[in-house]
Amino acid sequence: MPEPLLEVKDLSVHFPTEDGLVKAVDGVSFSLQPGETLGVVGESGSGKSVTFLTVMGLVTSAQAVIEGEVIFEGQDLLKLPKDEMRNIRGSKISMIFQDPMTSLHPFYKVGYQIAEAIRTHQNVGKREAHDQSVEMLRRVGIPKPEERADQYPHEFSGGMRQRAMIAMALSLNPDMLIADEPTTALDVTVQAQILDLIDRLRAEFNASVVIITHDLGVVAEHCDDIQVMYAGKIVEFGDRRDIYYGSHHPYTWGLLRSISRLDSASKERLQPIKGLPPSLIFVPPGCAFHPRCPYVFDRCRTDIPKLLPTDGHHASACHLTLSDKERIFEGEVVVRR
Amino acid sequence: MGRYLIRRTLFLVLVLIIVSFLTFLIFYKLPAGDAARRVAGHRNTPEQIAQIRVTLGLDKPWYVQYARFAKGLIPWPGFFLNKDIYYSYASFIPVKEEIYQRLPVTITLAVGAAVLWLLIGVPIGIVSAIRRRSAWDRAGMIFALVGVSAPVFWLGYLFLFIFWFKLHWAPGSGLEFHAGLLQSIIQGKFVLAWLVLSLSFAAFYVRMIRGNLIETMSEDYIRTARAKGLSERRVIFKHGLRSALTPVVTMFGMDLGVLLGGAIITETVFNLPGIGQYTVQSIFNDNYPGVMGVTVFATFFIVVANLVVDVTYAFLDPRVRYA
Amino acid sequence: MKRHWRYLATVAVVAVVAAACGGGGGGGGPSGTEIPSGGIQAGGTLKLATPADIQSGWDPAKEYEIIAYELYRCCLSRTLNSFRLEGAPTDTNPVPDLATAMPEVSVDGMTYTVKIKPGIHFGPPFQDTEITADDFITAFGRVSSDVGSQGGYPFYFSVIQGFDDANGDPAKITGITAPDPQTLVFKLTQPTTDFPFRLTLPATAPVPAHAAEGHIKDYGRYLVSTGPYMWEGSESLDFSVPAEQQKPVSGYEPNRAWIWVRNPSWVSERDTDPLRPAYVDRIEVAVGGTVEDLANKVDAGEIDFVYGATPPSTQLQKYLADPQLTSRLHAEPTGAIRYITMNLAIPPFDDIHVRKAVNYVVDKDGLRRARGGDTVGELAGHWIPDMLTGGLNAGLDPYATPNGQGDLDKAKEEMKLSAYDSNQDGVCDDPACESILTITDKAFPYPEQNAILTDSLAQIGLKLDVRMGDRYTFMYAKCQDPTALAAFCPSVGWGFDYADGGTYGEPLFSSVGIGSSDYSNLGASSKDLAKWGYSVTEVPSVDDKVSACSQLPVGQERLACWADLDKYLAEEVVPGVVWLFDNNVVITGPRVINWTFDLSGGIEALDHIALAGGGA
Repeated sequence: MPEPLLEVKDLSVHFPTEDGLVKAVDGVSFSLQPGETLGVVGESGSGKSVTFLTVMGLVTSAQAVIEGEVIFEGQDLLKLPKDEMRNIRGSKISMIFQDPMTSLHPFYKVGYQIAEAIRTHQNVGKREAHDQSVEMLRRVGIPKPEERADQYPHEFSGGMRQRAMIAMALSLNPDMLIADEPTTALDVTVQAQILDLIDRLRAEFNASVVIITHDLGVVAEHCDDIQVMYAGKIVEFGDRRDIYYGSHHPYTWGLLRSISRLDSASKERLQPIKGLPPSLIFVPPGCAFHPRCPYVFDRCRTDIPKLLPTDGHHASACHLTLSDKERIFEGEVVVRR
Repeated sequence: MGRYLIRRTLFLVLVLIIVSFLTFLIFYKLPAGDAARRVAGHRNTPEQIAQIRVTLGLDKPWYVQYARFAKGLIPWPGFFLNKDIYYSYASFIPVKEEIYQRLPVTITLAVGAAVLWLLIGVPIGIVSAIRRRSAWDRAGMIFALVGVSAPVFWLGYLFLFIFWFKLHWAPGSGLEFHAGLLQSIIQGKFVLAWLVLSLSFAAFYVRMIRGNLIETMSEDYIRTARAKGLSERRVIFKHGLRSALTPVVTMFGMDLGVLLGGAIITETVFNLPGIGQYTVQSIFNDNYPGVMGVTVFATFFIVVANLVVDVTYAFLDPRVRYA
Repeated sequence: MKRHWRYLATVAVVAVVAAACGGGGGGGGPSGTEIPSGGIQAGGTLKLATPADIQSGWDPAKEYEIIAYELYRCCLSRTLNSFRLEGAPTDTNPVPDLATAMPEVSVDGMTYTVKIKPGIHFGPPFQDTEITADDFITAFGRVSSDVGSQGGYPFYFSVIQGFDDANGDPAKITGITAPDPQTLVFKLTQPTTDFPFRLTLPATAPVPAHAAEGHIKDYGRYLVSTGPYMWEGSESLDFSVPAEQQKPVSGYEPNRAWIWVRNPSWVSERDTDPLRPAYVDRIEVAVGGTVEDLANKVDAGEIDFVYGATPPSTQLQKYLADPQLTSRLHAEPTGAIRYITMNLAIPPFDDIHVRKAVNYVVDKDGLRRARGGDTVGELAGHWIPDMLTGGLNAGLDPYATPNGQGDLDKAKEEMKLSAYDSNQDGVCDDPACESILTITDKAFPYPEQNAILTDSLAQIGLKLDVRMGDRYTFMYAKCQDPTALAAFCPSVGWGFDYADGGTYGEPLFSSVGIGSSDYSNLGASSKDLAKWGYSVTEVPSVDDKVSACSQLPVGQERLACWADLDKYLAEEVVPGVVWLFDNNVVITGPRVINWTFDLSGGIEALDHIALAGGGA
């Protein structure tokens, strides 16, 4: 096994607030291989964004109590001094965000914003940085990139803006790209284009990609591995086939059941997961999902389930037996091939 | 943009006419002052007053009087405040001459105070926003509270008393005769006035900048800027302030425009011979053409400032485009 | 004030000596640094300040304020006649200034002949032009113009033949002729015995013919001096170009500064002027600022005193309380009175006992306190100020009360004698007293005074119905107009235009003044009273007395006549309540010496005031 590009060990991020300690991320561990695409799925409040904001150093110990390790290319990012972390941010690890309209500065030209990223990390002149940013725009598939570089974000369409964000994120050839809900704010037709673009670029730039989303449908074709998060913890981890064709966690099942599909009968209703996401201050005891789980039993209410591998790669955090899990999946959570 | 400018210029003329007409109506209709009686003095027989009314043209019907004044409102050389109509009733000095003479003092006062309030208000506002809830922030907010609450005339007299009368650090009120404007500035005659005038504005700007910057720093593009690895200083100044200060520019233009029409209280307290003091004197002396003149002048400045600010905003915020 | 006159006597001696020794000894420059014996050193710059600019641009044909009149007299404009301040004058009779002697009067009193002193020249830029009779005619021409003169001046010269029809053209004033350059002959339309006083008015000061051309509206900024001082920068005035192209004098910055420097013509001819010592070299008046701010500047030593404004009460109290400072506080009578008029044609004021009762009951001290305290003036008991009657009525106060605060008992005694107190209890019980229409100014301090008056008069049953409004458009309008039926006008004041009792007598107390300054309708005819809607058919009249005094020539007899009229008004006519002789109050800085008050002007005399050590 080659060295993982990113290894997160037992990361917890707790925010002290007036109402109490918000346990946004509570003991999360995973790793990311070079060249891999990881999908991170969960509802709002699951801790999926905070995890990676912490990896990027955008959530700092000034705001929260952070424990654990984030090892990237051999260094623990959490222990790095701010200046060195800043060098890594944007050049080795890049992040793009959900709403490209508000994520780009409305008063600066798009070309300038990309060039700014380049010149922050590389010692190049304005002319050259500008040329590089035009090239990046071309590579993300924006037509007439020289003209576009001189335009402002509000002159771009939604899809083009996200392409520009991606261009900015990749302009320094990072080893890892984190995309936080990259398609949520876009039209359905544009979503597929952006995801395809990310795929293509991952190959071209040889980067690892993390796609954070709440929509299982989005990650279906584009991710090698998928981790499902709930209430600050990872509840299931596996590759594509594991998750879609044999998942082992009631929450994942709930997510699968609530995907709408073109080929489902029109009268078939979507089945949402019962109940509401839990408070991160007063997390339910035992398994955090137990108040909403249709398969709950006594042990769930008292013992926190550990994320345990069931076979090799595939892991889940649930007290149900393997056979129960397989039975329930085949019986009630059917995903047609 | 060209057509927009033309439209706005026509609008300027329209506003001038409306304002002037309303001012005229006020003086014509309200019985509180009577220029003819004022000029006549204490030996005022009815015949003398009637004679003076004829001399000043006050006996003509209102539309004739207004027409004479309206001609002088067109901002064109040869027309504007033409000196045959707009002269001080008492001393017969053309209003235009009096205003132009006083304009440099008011400009000096306004511009100096503006520079000062920016120098004071912007840094304090930024520090307050960045170091929220720190001791700096609290000090900044107390400064803002005092500055906004303390009336200019109170502050002015207080400063004069402390810094001139007691400590002899600053010169007293008024300018020396025959001293040029530059000389007066060098003599420090404007220092206290600048300080007093700028404090209340500075306080207001501190609050505004603080609020704007706090709001701006929570915007998504700030997160993006940080994600790009920019230094925090660059994030605050190039990304945060660039947005936070744009509405401040608008505010600044308007404030400066209003001040150019005369900082009435400050000029009175510090006895600076500017347009504000002239306004007060004209009102007290029932010098109707003088009041008309400054009203029109002030309106002109404000409308022009408005226009400049709007056009500037278009340059600052590329999302704004004028047809 | 007695101290004053002794000081003045010393100064007079000094001045004479100075005039004898100095003469033209000052060389070319007008620095005036001769040191006369007696300790007053000439020289220095008098630094003054005043809160507001002059009303009419320093045009002598238009100005009427005391500060302007005095400045013309002391400093800028010599006239045919003027006033002497030395020699302890107690009266204010005119003396010759540019004239060689008082005018010769014809037997019928309608022709006045004046001889002009030869060899006196105008100030720069007309320093080579001798003052001649035509220059006076030019001045009268200006005053006769409708546009050129305002403020009541033409009124005084209507008596000159042809004046009213001249409208600015001196040639049309047929009543003034100049048989030779040194002689002026005035032909009047009627005998006018106070004509010598009228020749002291600044409007009559000589004006060089070319200077006034084209400056009908703004001559003040181009004023050519005939006095000890002139506008700074006068020498740069260029009258050779058309009027619109001329630059006004630099020493007068409207609303900013008045600066006067020595007039070199006068310096070289100063022995023609025994009236004015003119010690200081330069007078600077900074215009603008609040009264408190200027008071601070006096305290800080930045200015010598404030010209034309009363010190704020805080400063007054400080100077009154500190014995070291009291000598720098000066309070002298301006010759103005504050008074209340009663409309003689409206009950209950048609009854003299009611009027006397009111005089007894009014709290004059309270009114004065509302105005600012003791320093603002002396409580008055008679109508015409003492300087206009040679002090003959000094102390006259027929309705004196303890401390001037009113005497209710005496008031009630007087009321009992009236027709409006049927039950004789000293309180009016007639419906006429129920609602007395009182018209007042609404500015400070009149509201407080109205309250005091309301309380005072209520004690004898007179209920005031007080209406307050703007002084010019409301108070003057209603009190002047006899058809407005205003019964009681308390916010009134009056001052003289020149220091003759006639400027009180005629406008205030004769029927000529009805409709302008005689608010009590004294002297109104029965026909007019009926026409105006009054039920009262007869009111008192002093027209004959006023007329008699007006016809007396200037001198002691005339003074005594006005004094008699004054006494008569106070004791027998009682057209109102006179309660204050206004004071001119000034606080001076430590540099100021030889403080001199001009009785004829009612304000300090800048041609006599000097600076310690010559201003060093």
